[in-house]
Amino acid sequence: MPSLRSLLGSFLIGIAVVLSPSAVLAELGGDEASVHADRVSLQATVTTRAARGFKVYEIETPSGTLIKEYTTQEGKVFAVTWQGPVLPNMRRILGNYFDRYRDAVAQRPFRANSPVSVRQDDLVIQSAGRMRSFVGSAYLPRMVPPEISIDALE
Amino acid sequence: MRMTVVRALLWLPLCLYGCGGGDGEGPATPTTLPHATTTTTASTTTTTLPPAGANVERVYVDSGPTSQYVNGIFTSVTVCVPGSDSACQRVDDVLVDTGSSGLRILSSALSLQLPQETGPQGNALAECFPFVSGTTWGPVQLADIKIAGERASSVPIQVIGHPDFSRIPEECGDRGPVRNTLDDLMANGILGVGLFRQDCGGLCRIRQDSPMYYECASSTCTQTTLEISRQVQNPVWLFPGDNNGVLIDLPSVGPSGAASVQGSLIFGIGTRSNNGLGSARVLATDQFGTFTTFFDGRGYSGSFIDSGSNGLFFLDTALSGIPTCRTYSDWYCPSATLTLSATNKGTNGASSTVQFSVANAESLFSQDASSAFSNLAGPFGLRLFDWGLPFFFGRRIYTAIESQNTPAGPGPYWAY
Repeated sequence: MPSLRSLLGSFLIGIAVVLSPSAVLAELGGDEASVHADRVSLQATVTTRAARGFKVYEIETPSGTLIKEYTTQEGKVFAVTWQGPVLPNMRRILGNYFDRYRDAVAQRPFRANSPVSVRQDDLVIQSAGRMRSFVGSAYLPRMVPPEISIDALE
Repeated sequence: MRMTVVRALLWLPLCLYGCGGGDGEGPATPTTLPHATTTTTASTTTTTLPPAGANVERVYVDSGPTSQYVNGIFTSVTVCVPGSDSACQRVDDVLVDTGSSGLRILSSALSLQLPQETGPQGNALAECFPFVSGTTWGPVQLADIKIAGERASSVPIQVIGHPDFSRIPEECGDRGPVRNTLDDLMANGILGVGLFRQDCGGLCRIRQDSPMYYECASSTCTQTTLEISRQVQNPVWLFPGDNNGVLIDLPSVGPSGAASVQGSLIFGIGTRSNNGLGSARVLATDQFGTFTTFFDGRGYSGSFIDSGSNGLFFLDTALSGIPTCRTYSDWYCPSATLTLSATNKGTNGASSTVQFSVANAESLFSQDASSAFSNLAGPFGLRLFDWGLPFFFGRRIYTAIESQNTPAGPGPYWAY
């Protein structure tokens, strides 16, 4: 899969727009306009990129943590990724899926900095790192837009 | 098919900071230094006592205080009321974690009353500390910390699950499960001897969407920014000497694991005859404590070495070609043990090629008596290598603290 990343990169060459401070942070499974209240507490810079079949919101919080939310053309968030020095507020970015995430992690033994993952038919979450360097992703396999086909990427 | 698309998306964040190619890595020599420790396996027991010294504390890898840990490295820590030599308590079974900074002790394991640290408004200070597998909540209190012959004075520590701080702020529970009991933590505490002086540092001087420190007036705790000196501190940099880092020295473990392993936690780097760097390769990290691991022709930035991870975690089945276990999807289960090679490259340009093994985790776990494995590995899925405790067996691994001078220059770096 040598060219996967570069191919994907070509998909993301779209229009980058810095939105006004009223831009939103949505949540997994939610719609783009779902969480207006977050913008104040996040004090975040938000950028969007249009790509074929989906849109990416890039949200950078004051700590330098970058949260990316991928939305379908219908405006539903089907994937969220994060990377940065601070573990994000997971309830805020996972929305209604947070309780399932928390309960699944709670059922496993505590292993300090060992990564955690939740793999269910309709929900995949992986989270790793430690203070100053966290990384993770969450997505809804059933909501990944059909236009985003691996055929094009591979 | 769609899954792979999404994986591609998931790669993106890590590529922001550069996903290098895997070429150009010259061979580097893995360092081997004499080890002095005890290994116990079902079949053999060899004992060589660690080098005694005022800067050496025994560590052990076993199933821990709840008999449930796999690859947990523990030690004993003594805490005292600041300035006292009699109001002290030794706490055993404290997890040794190079991935975090600061001492955290379960309130249930502590009979000592410690003075409370205060926040900017003069009220009680408390903390919600984020580990990926759960957060710890409790007040920040002051203690003298004694380990081996070392002593750090009046150090802010976290007392986890203190009954006077039972009302956990909602946003603390919004990062994952709160782990505040022995059953939750499977250790009496966590001794963070990582790359940094404080657990949070300059990050906590700004207001964030995901706060760590709280100031508590009566039973209500509200988020606060916090100056660095009041934050939970890595005790090592506050020792009068031997304060530039730690060396963890664990013996090798055979392919089928060991019931328990003993080794040494040695304070200081190049401060005494027992902690010199020798020919160890020094891998500097970025400000986030990460370096790049090259594996199978690709570079994975964001990689780190961490005694608080209980396995080697890297890639996933699609990228590594290694199947996960049928019953434990968190672990790899190759049909036969694999010997692999990767090259770690520091931000200083130094690199080190390492061999590592990945055994069938189900086979390892079928040996009920074993709790230390050098070949336990699992998938993660994102683009990084987490070199957890298995990496420490058979190596002397140095963790140098930020801004502290060592013979190889200031930290943060790892060396082995």
